[in-house]
Amino acid sequence: MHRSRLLPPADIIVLLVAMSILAGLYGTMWGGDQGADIAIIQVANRAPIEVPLARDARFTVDGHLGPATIEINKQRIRFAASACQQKICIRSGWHRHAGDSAVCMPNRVSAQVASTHRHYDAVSF
Amino acid sequence: MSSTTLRVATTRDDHRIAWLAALAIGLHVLEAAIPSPVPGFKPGFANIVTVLVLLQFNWRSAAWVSALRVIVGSLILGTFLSPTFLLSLSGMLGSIGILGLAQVSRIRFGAIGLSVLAAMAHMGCQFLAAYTLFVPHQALLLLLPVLMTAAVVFGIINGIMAAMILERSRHIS
Repeated sequence: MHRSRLLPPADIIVLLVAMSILAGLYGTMWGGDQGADIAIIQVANRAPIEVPLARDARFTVDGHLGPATIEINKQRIRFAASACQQKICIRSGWHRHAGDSAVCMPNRVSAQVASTHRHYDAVSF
Repeated sequence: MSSTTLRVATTRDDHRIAWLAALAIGLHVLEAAIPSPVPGFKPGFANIVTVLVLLQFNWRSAAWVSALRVIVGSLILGTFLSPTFLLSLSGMLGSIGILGLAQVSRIRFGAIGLSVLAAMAHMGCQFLAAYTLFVPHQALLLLLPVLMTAAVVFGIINGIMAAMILERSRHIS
């Protein structure tokens, strides 16, 4: 099989463009923060607290079992300490993409990264 | 009482489209039986037929074959007018649209180039439809690079298969 027939010049250009689109997609979708600018901290049966991500902060909320410390650092958010047993919330690590969230079920505390430009409060299926 | 037989005049083109559409539908249904790890990941082998029809015949036939595949395929699988069908339809419109543009541009694309173009347009439109109609959640965007990578990979594989089929059919005819 002739190489030229299998892959004409136009196809090579298509493949190069495809590769650059992929690189661009990974860069924009995985690299950026998609306009994430606030953290929404929720404790069961209480109004959600919105905190800007721009400023590094560390604060404690009272959950169902005890205190939970939430840390904001470099536009990211995480559970730094929690009164729960398994510490799944802490081990989920840093979250920085809009829509990402860390939830502590036993302590009934959740921290979600969000954008102030969001159009929906929630989506369910 | 005399019975009347209704006859529809069919052309050679109609028969050819019907045969090729049947082939595409067969691949479409066969593929539906393959389990997919994540919704959205599908090899899209029926695309091979579309690309072959475009290269051997014309865009009009390719559009007919694709449209018939989506509609009849969904009727067979029982997904007609369901979300799955809408996604399939939007993907089909995207791929056939870009193949039309490729045709109009008069650039001589090969099977691999056309297959990759179609696969990416298919995924792009399908994703747009999924995002706007069904899951308008920003987290879905994180899946786009992975889905597009799959589209490019399967586009290349399908393109190679289409190129090999073309090569063989040249030896036969």
